[in-house]
Amino acid sequence: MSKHKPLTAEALYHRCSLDQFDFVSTSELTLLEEPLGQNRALEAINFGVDIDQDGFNLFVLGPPGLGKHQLVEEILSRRAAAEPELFDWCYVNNFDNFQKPRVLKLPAGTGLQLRKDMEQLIEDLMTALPSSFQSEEYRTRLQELEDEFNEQQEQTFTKLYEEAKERGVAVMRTPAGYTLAPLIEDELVKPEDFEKLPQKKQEKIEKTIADIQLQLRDVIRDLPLRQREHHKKVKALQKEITQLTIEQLIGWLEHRYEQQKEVRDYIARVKAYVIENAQDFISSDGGVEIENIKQRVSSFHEYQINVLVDNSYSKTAPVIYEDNPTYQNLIGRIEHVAQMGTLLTDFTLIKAGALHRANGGYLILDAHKVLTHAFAWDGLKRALSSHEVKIESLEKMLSLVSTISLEPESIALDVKVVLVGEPLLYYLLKAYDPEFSLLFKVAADFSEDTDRNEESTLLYARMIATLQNRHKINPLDRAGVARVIEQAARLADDGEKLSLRVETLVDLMREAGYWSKKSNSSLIRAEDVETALEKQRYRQDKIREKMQEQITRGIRLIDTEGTKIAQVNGLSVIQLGDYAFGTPSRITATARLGQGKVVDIEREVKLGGHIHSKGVLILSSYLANHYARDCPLPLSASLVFEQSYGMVDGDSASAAELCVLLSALGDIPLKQSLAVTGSISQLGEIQAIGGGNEKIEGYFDICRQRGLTGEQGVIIPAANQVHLMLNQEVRQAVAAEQFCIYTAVHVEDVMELLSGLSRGERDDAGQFPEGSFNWLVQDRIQELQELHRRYSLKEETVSEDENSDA
Amino acid sequence: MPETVNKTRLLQVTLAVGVGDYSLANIELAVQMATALDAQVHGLFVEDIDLLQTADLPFSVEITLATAQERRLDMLSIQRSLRAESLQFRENLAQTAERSQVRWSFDTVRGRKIEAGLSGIESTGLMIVGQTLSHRQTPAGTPRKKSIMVFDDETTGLLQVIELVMDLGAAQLVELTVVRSEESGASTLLQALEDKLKNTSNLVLTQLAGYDLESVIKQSAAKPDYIIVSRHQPSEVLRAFLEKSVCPVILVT
Repeated sequence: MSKHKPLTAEALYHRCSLDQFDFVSTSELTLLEEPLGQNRALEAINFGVDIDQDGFNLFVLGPPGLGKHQLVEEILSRRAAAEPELFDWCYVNNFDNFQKPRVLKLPAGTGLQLRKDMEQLIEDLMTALPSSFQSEEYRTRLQELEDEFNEQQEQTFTKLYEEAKERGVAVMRTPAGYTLAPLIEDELVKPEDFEKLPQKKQEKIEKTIADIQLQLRDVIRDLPLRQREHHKKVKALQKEITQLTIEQLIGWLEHRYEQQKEVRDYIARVKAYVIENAQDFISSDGGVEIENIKQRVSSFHEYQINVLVDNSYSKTAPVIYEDNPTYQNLIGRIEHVAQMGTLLTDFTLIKAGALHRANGGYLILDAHKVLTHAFAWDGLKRALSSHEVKIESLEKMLSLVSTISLEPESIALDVKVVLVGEPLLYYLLKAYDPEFSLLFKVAADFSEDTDRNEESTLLYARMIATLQNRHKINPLDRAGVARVIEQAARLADDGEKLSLRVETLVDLMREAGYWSKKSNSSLIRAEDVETALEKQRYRQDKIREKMQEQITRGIRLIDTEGTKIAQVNGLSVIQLGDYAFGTPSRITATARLGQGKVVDIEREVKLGGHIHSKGVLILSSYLANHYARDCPLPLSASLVFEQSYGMVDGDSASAAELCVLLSALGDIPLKQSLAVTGSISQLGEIQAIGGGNEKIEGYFDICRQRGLTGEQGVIIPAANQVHLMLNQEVRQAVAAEQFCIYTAVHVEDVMELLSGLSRGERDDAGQFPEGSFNWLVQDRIQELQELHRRYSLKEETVSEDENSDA
Repeated sequence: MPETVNKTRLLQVTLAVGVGDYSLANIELAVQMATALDAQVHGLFVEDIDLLQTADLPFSVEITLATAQERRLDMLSIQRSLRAESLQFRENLAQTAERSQVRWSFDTVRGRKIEAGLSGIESTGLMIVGQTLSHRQTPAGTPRKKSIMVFDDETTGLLQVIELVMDLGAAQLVELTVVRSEESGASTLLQALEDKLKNTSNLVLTQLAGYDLESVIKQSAAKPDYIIVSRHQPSEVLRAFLEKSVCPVILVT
């Protein structure tokens, strides 16, 4: 069949010419400042960062390994340098309601200063207040108050005692209070003497005692009121002393923060609170030793400053990457301490989240991680919608615990969030989360590859130099660069494209660097890159080897020579992580008289995917359209992937399936030395498929192991020719005419190659020339039609006989 | 004038308290003094005979300090109350003494506190007669100056006890008021105190004349926290002190 020429070895590989490079090694190349091939994403990021409007947060989408994180961080860091206005965020005690701590927003560096200043104030108060309360002035005034109180009390009681005594009654203490007893001539009257008194005298005494009892009761009732009055006076004195002391001590603090209203207000509240609670500073056991005071300062929690975000040493706006974006790590948390079996907390135990740290700057998050941590996504959206961070404990939200918790004041949020994730996540969020579109209005879509031409190849070489420099890898020589570029094309699965998966390239360069060092070379050469690729493949190749072994041992049945009717070699790709390899599969078909149905056995047993089923339906349609346009197609056929026990999907085998079906119909022997890949349209056109390189190499490996005959080869869609980046072994075999690669544009091209028969053109009567494979198929279909007609007549006669019998 | 005695070792500190006089401060004072003197402490609770008799009167009522309510007073309930107070006193004394590793003993007697104090003084080294009027106010934890009033009759033991009381109150300012009879001559106690206290800025020494407690206290700037007096004073003088005093009186042999 001279009509179909195999591809030459040159057509199988898009070589990178060394002539276009005028450098010896990458160390001579100018490094790239902007990433290659990511102009669209770059523009989107710059736009997203620049625009200062609500909801213009970014979603950076693209598959892993494109260097999205690196690029985003670089851009944001450059941008952050131009935004130097920074703030510290602190939580302080709310002296009116301990459960609702207050927020202070302070200029950068002021938070820690305020904390130190407050510690100093407390230390000063702890020494000054006890001294004030031990002063002669205070003691004297307190003594005066006590004496006044005691004198009042004594006067009241003395007056009562005397009045009672004058009226012949003694006031006596009892264990719980007072009692009254009659006196006669200053002597207590004994019960027996009282009995002897005349009735009238007894009644008089009792009445007198009853009167005095009323007075005594009034005096005792007044006691708490008097004590309260006295206590008020003492308290007022203490306040006065405390106020005098604190006025002297706090003046410098007020002066230092006079420009900051929030701090000024806070200091005023501190002052008022200290005055109310001066007793706390006058500890009887604390003493005034310096060491003791230092220890005790830390116990005055209520006056501490919890510096949530400290920007003392920051020169630029924050760019925060939170690699574990749990709800707490994003929003912040309230910790507890266990005391005597009880969980306690206060404002000093409030911890910052990533949103706090990134406030005023940028926060980078992995979309997948945010979405997979419970409540993190909701928390993030809530914060962005409300423009504030409100720390709510998760356990409280879920009613898991019932300990006392805090409701800290919200912190105003001004942050640009950059989510980084795969495209699928972006489109799912777009489709299913209405809030997403409102909050993440800028999509920065990273390209996986870039066009391969002379200009881009030179830029790619500079990109390699940039990566090599950034990751401190040995420089590459020209051939090394060329080999990396060729591998980039292979990664792109397209000889005319270059992959932008920089992380894969960096790994390759690192490994090549390792092998170059092993061979004492200061430069990474093409052979080092080749070794690295071979070793990578070898490390991941176990399963491919096992599968190949099964074929060569005849356990999996694959013929690579001779001819067979209704049997063809299809090709599939198995993807294991980031490693893919091709392997042949035997496809067989049966065809007989029937109702025009092609059965896909894979689909019947639910081992076939939707796309595969679609391919089978398309080939059924082609069959009917091509051979039985004006009459029924009385055919019942079945297709199967032999020895396939897993899911089969994709339509890349539909061309092979159609060929094997035609073979079964027309009893046409097909060459087993050729394998076929390609999908078909209803019109029989062969369409491009993916993984062509892996499929060809997979089939080649089997043939090589069995011995190359020169007849063996693969038929691929013509559209896939540009994608070819086949390995050296295949290329060498093709060059030596031991293996061939054919391209096909129509299924009839494939049939001609497989059967060795011509397709034949229809004559005016619509018949194909005898001997062509189309004639064989059509002839068989006509036979089936005749059989079908005869069976139909027979059935009709039987039916009529039955009717007449009846 | 009572005879001057040499400094002797005091073997027992007795704390005599009556109804409503029971206070932890008094117990603490007695135990600390006993510790300092290496003596034993003896608690004496006096069940007031007058109160018991009054309870037997048909119209007797008690007005409680806590509620200002009246309640019927009878012999049985007052006995129970007294027993409870006595037991509590005993328990607190025992705890305080044991904590300070001081030997202790305890007695409950029925009678009158002043009589019991005066009669028991012969058999003890140092007698503290507890006096606490519940309506007197000393806010807890408030630092205030301690005031000690001493009635000087040249008894040698006085100096020893003054030193002791001042040592126990060393952390606080102590104001010492020495009262002497107008007709007394030069005071060796005053001389000794002046020598001893000249370098102690915490102490304020005031000298007053006269023996009438009421007038003396009126003249004094501060109400005394403790009164120290020699037991060698005539019994009517001592009785007057004990009847009119509103603070613990320390009787010194």
